[in-house]
Amino acid sequence: MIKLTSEVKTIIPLLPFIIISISALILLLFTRVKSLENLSKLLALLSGLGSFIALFFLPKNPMTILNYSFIHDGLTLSAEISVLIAIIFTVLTGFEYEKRLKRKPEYYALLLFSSAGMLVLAGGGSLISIFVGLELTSLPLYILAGFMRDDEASFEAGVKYFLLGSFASAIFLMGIAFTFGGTGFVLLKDITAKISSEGPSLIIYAGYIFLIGGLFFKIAIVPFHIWAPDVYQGSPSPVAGFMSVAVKASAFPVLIRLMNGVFHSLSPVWEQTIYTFSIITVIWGSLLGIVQEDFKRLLGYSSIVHAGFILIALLNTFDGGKSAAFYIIIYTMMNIGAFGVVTSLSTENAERTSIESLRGLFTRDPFIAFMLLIFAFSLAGIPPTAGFWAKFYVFKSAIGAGYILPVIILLLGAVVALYYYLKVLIYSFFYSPSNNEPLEKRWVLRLSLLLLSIKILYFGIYPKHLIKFLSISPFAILGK
Amino acid sequence: MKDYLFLIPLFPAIGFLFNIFFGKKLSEKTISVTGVLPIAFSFLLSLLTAYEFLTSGHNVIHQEVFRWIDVGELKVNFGFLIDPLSLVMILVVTFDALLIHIYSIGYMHGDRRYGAYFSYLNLFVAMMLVLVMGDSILLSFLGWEGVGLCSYLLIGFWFEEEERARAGMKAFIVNRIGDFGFVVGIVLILMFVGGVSYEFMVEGVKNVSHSILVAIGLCLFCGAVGKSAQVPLYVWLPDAMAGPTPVSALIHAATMVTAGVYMVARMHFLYSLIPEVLLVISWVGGFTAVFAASMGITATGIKKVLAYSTISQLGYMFMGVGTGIYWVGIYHLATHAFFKALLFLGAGSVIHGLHGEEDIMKMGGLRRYMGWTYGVFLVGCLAIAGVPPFSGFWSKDAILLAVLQERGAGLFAVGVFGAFMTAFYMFRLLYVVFHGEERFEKKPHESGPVMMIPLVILAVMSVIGGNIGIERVLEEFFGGHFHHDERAMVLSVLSGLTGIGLATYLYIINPSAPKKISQKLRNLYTLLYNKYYVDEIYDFFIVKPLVLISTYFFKNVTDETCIDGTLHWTARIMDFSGRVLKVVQGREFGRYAFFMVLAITILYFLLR
Amino acid sequence: MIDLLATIIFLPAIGGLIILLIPSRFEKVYKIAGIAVSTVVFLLSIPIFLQFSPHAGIQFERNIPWVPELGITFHIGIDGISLLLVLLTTFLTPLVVIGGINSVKKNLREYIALFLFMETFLIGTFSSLNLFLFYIFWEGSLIPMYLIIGIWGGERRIYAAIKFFLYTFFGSVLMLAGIIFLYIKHGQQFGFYSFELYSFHQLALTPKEEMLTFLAFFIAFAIKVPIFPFHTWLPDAHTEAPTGGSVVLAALLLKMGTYGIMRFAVPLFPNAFLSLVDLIAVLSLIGIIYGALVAMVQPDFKRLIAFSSVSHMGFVVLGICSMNIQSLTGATLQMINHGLSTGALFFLVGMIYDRRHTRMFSDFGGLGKVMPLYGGLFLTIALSSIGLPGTNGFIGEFLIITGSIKFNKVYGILCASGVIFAAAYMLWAYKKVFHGEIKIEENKNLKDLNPVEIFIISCILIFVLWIGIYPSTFLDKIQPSILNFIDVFKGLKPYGGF
Repeated sequence: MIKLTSEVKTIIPLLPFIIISISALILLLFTRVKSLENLSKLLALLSGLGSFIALFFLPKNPMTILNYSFIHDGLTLSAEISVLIAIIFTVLTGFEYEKRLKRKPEYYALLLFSSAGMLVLAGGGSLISIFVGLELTSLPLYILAGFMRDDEASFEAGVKYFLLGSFASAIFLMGIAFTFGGTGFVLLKDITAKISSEGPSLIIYAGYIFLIGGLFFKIAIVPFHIWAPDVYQGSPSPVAGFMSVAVKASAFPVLIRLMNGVFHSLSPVWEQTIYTFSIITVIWGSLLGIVQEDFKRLLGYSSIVHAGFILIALLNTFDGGKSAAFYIIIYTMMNIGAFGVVTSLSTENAERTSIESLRGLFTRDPFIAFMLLIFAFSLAGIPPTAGFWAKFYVFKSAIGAGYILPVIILLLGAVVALYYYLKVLIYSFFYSPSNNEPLEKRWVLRLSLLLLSIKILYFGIYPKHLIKFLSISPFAILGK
Repeated sequence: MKDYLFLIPLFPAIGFLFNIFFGKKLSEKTISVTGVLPIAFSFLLSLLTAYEFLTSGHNVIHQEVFRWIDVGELKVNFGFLIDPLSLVMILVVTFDALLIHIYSIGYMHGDRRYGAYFSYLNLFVAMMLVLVMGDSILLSFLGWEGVGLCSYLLIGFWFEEEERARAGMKAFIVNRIGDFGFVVGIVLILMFVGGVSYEFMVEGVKNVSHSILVAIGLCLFCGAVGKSAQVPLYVWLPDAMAGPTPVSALIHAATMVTAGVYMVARMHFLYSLIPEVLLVISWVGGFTAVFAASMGITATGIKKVLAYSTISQLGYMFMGVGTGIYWVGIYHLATHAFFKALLFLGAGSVIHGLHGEEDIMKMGGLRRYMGWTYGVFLVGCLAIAGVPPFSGFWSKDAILLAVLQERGAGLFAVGVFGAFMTAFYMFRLLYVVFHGEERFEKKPHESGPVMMIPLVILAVMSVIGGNIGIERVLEEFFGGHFHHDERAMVLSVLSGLTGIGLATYLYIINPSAPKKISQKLRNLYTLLYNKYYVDEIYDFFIVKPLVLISTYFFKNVTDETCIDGTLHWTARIMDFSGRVLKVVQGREFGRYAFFMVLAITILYFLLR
Repeated sequence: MIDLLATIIFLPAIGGLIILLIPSRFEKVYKIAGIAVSTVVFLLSIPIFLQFSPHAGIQFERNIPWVPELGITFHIGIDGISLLLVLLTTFLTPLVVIGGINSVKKNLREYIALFLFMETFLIGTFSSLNLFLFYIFWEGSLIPMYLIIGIWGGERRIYAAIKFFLYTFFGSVLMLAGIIFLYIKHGQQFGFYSFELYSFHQLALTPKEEMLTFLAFFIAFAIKVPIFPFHTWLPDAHTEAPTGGSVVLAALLLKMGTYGIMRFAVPLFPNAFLSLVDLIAVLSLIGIIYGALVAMVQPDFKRLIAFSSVSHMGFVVLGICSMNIQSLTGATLQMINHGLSTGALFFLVGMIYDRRHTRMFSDFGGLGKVMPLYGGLFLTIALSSIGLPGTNGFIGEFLIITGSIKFNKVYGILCASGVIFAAAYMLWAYKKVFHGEIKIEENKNLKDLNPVEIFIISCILIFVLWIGIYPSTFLDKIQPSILNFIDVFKGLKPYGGF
C-alpha cells in the first residue's frame, strides 16, 4: 500500500501528460458516438485546462523520475506551460472554425496526442524517451497538417511534412545511434559524464551533429526550415498556429540540454554552431519574409526568425535557458494570437490567408485590426509589448556571454524583419477595403484573442510575475 | 524725472496694439485720432525730457525697466538712456513722425487698410525710439530689426501689386545681410569687451586688443551699410519707394535710414580708437554720395530722384562721422530730416494732386496749380543744395570743412562735386515738375490743409533748422572742432550755385539741350539710366547661382539621389536577395532533403 | 499629495484607452473627453512649473521598483532641461486635439486617443532617469506616430510612414545594444545589474568601448533630430502626416533627439563626445545652411517648413556642441522656440490645407486680401521662426550664436549666416502665398480663420512674445541645470565661457 503511494508520488511530475493522454483516449471513443461529437472540443479544452492547473501541484524542486529518463525542472515546466497554453488557445481560437472540419473527435484527439508527446519530449532525460516523445509529437501533426483531405494545399502540406519529418527523425535516430555507439549510454546524465571525462571523439561529433540536425528540423532552423512555410500555409490555421509554437516549445529544452549540458565540454564547437546558425536563420528568414504574399507563409518565416533569436540565447550557459524559456512562453502567446487573426479571416467554406485579404481590416473590423496591431508589434519586439521583453532577454544573455557582434547583426536582421510586420499593418490599417464585407462574429475566438492581447500587454508593461516564476523555478540543467 | 522715459516708446506701442486690433471696426476719423495721439504724447514727453535734461545738470539720464536676457556673463537690461545724442534723435524722430502722421490723415484718406497703416506707422515710431533710446547695443538691435520689419510691412503695404511686395522683401533680406554683420559684431563685443550696455562699453573697449576692435568696428559698420543704404547694399532703397509717400518720407528719408549714422556716432568711443575704420567709413560715404547722385541725374520717377538724393545725403553723413568729428554727421542728419521730409511730402502732395502719377515726364508747369507745394518744394531744394542761409548749408558746410581738415583735399573735392550734382539734379527735378509745358492728362489739384500745414512747418524748419542750437548741444557732447576755412566755404557754396545754374540753363533757358546731351553721351546715359546694372549683376552672380545650386545640387543630387537613393537601393537589394533565395530553396521535396544533408555534411567537416 | 509627474505621464494614456472604449456614435462624448483629459493634464503641469525650484537639480523624482530582478525601476524626475519640454508637450497636446476635432473627419476617436498615447510616451521620454524605461517610452512613441501618419496622412503616406518607422527603428536598435552593453558592464564592474542613469555615470569604459557605445546612442539621436545626412525621413514624414501629426513630429518628436543627446549621449560619454565634437558641429552647420537652401526651393509649403526644421535643429545641435552656458541655455530654449514656432506654422498650413486641399505655392497668391487675419498671424509666427528680436526665436538663436562664436569663430559666423537664409525662404514663401493679385478662382472667396483656429494660434502666440520680451521666466529655470551639466566637462577640456 505504502509502496504503491510512493510509486504514485514518483510519477506526479507526469500528471499533465497523464491527463492529456487519457482524455485523448476518451476522445477516440467519441468517434463512435455521433451525439458526442460536439462535446469533444469541450473535453479537449477541459483536459488542457485541467493539466494546466495540475502544473501548480507539481513538485517545486527539480527531480528526475523513471530512472532518469524524465527530467522535471524549470525548463520542462516552462515548456509544459507553453505547450498547454498552446493547446488551450488552439482549441479556443478554433472553436467556431471547427465547423469546417469533418471528424471533429479525431481532430482533437490528434491534437491532444501530439501535445502529450510534447510533454514527454520536453522532459526527456534519455535518448529513448526523447525519441519516443519526438515521434509521438510528430505523427499526429503529420495527419493534422493534411487534415482537410479534400483541400489540395492541406493534402500537399501533410505529405510534405510527413516525408521530411520522417527524414528528420531518421537523422535524429542516427544521432542517437552514433552517440550510443560513442558512449555506450542512452541516459543523458551518463553520456554527459562520459564525454566530459573522456573528451570527444569523431563518432561523438557525428552523434552531436545528427542530433542537433534532427532538432533543428523540429524548431525550423535554416537550412532545416524549408518545410515550415509550406506546411503552415497548407494546414488548417489553428493547427498551423499550434505547430509553430508547441513544437518549438517542446524541442528547445532538449536542444538546451544537449548543447549546454550533454555536449557542454565541447563548448567551442556548439558555441560557433549556435551563432552561425542563428545569424543565418535570422537573415534568411527575414529576407524571405519580405517577399511573401501569403500571410501564413509570412508568419512561417517570422517563426523561423524567432527560432533564430531564441537560439542565440543558448550562447549563455548561465541564464540562456531562462531567457529562451521566457522568450518561448511569450512567443507562444503572440504567435497563437497572430494565427488566431488568420483564423478569424477565414469564412464558412474558404481559408483567407493572402495578405491582400487583410485589406482595410481597420474599417471592416476594428477589433480584429487592433488585435493584429498588438500581436504584430509584439512579434516585431516593439515596447510596450511582451515581445520586446523576450527579445531584450535573449540579447541580454548573448551580450552577457560576450557575443556583441552577433547580437548587432541579429538586431539589424530585426530591422529587416520589422518591415514585413509593418507591411501587414499597412494592408490592414492604411489601405481602404476592397470589399466591405465584415468578418464573421466569432465570439469565443474574439474573446481568446482579447485574452492573449491583454496578457501580452500586461507582461509587456509588468512582466514581473513571469520573470519571478522563471527565477524561482529551478533550472537544473543536467549534471550541474 | 527719469521714471517716465519708458513712456516715450510705450505710447506708440499702445497705439499700434489698439489700431491693429480695432482698426478694422473703427471709422477713419477715430483711427486718425488714435493713430496720431500717441505720437503727439511722445513728442510732448520728448520736449519735456529735453527741457528737464538741459535745465538739470545731468549729462545722462538712465532708466532700467526690467531684466531682459541674463545668461552667464551676458546680462542685458531693458533700459533707456538719454544723452544729447539720443535727445536730438528722439526730438527729430517724434517731431517728423508727428507731422507725417498728420499728413497721412489726408494722404491715406479712403485706403481700405487705413487702420493697419496707422498701426504699422505707430509700431515704427515705437521701434525707432527703442533704437535710439536703448541703453545697450542689443536693445538698440531690437529696435533696429523692428524698424526693418515696419519698413518691410509699409513698403509692401499695397501688396496686391507684385512689384511692391517684392520691393518690401528685397529691403528686408538686403538689410538682413547687414544685420548678419551687426550680430557678429555684438557677439564679439560681448566676448571681448564683456558687456553690451553703452555705459559699460565706454570703459570696456579701452582694454581690448586693437585688431579685435577693428573687427568689431567693421562688423557694426556692415550693419550700418545695410540699414543706411550705402554701397554696396544700397540697392533696396530705390525700390523701397514702392511704399506710400509719407512712409518714404518718415522711414526712408528722415529716420530709419539714418540709424546707421546714429549707430556709428553712438559707438564713437569705439571708433575713435580705430581711425583706419573711420577712414574706410568716410570714403565709403564719399563714394556713395557721388555714385548715388550720378544716378539721381537720370532718374525719372519723382520719388526715385529723392531716393537717390537720400542715399547720397546719407553718404555725406557717413563722410561726416567718418572724420571723427561725429557731431557734424548728426547735425546733417537732423537738418536732412527736416528738408528731406519736406521734399518727400512735397512730392507726395504732387503725386496726390496728380492722382498717383509719379513719372516726372508726365508733369510740368505745376506751379500754376499748386503754388503752396511749389513754394515749400523750392525751399527744400534750396536747403538740400546748400544755399545759405538754409539749414542744409550749415550742416553740409560743417561736414565739408571737417572732411577737409581730417581727410584732406581728395575727399573734400569728392564732397564738393557731390554737392554740385545734388544741386543740379534737385533743380532739374524742380524745373521738370513745376515749370515747362504741361504734360499731364488729368487736371491737378492743390492738397488740403491737413497736408499743407505739416509741409509749411517743415519748410520753416528747413530754413531755420540749422541754427536752433542742435550743433552746440552735439558739439559739447562729442567734442572735436575744426577751424572755419572761408575759401572752402565759398567753394562749396559756389559748387551748389553752379549746379543750380546749370540746371536752370538746361531746363529753363534751353530746354532742348538735355536731349542732345543724352544723345551725345548715349553710353554714359544708358549706363546711368540703368543704375549701372547693379541689380542685374547681383541677381546674376548671387541669387541665381544659389537657387540653381540648391535645386539641382542639394535637393536633387544630394537629398534625392545620394541619401534616399542609398536607402531605396538597400531596400531593393533586400527584396531582390529575398526573391533569389526563394528561387534557390524552391518548393520541391528533393531539394529540401538535399539542403539538410548538405548542411549536415558541411557542419561535420567544419567541426571535425 | 498626488505625484504630479507620474500623474501627467499616465493620465493621457488612461484617458486614451477610455476614449477608445466609447462607442463611436457618441461623438460629443469622446470629443469632450479628449479635450478634457488633455486640458487637465496641462493644468496639472502648471503647478510643476511653479513648484520647480531652479537650483534643486532633479525634482519630482519618483523611484518605484518595477522589475528589481533586472535593476529596472520606474525612475522619473525632471530638471531644468526637461521641465520646459514636458510643459511644451502638455501645452501642445490640447491644441492638437482641438485642432483635430476642428478639421479631422475620419476616425476622429482613434485620432484623439492616439495623440493622448503619444503624450504619455513623450512626457515619459522626457522624464525617465532609467535607461530601460527611457527606451520603452522612446520606442513606444513610434507606434502612434506610425499609425497617425499612415491612417490620416496624404497621398504618399505609406511610403512616409514606413520610412519614418524603419529609419528611426534602425537607430533605436543600435541604442538598445548600447544600453544592454552598459547594463552588462555595470553588472561586471559593480556586481549588481542596473539601468539607472546615475549608476551608468560611474561606469569605467575603455576609450574604444566608450566611443562605440557613444556612436550607438548618437546615431539613434542623430536620426531623430535629424542631423545631416540622416534627415531625409523628415521631409516625407512632415509632409505626409496630418496637421496634428506634423505639429507633434516637429514640435516634440524631434526634441527627443536633442534631449537624448543632452541627457544621455553627452554626459555618459564625455570623452567620446569631445573627440567627435568638431565633426558633429560641422554636420550641424551643414544642416543649418543646407536645410535653409533646400527649403528655399521647395514647391510644397510643408516641405519648406520641414527643411526649415532641419536648419533650426542644426542650431540646437551646434549649441550643444559649443558647450558653454549661453549656447546650452540657448539650445534648450531653442528646442521650445522651434516647438512653438514650427508647431504653429504647421497648424497654419493645416488650416489653409483644410480649405483648399493643396499645399503647393503655385495654388495660392494674394490670400492677404481675403484672409487678412490669417496673413497677420502667419507673418508673426514666420518672423518668430526667422528670429526677429522681440520674438522667442531671437533669444534662442542669439544665445546659440553667442555661444558658438565663443566656441569657434568660424562655426559661429557660419551659423549666424543661417539667419539671412531663414529670412529669405520664409518671406519668399509668405510673398508667394499672401501677396500679389488673386489668380485662382477658389481663392477668391476663402473664409478667414474661425474662432477655434484663432484660439489655437493665439495660445501659441502668447508664449512666442512672452519668451521674446521677458525670457527670464524660463531662462532662470533652465540655467542652473545647465551649469551642473557643464560641470561634467570641467575637468576634461574647457571651452571658453565657463
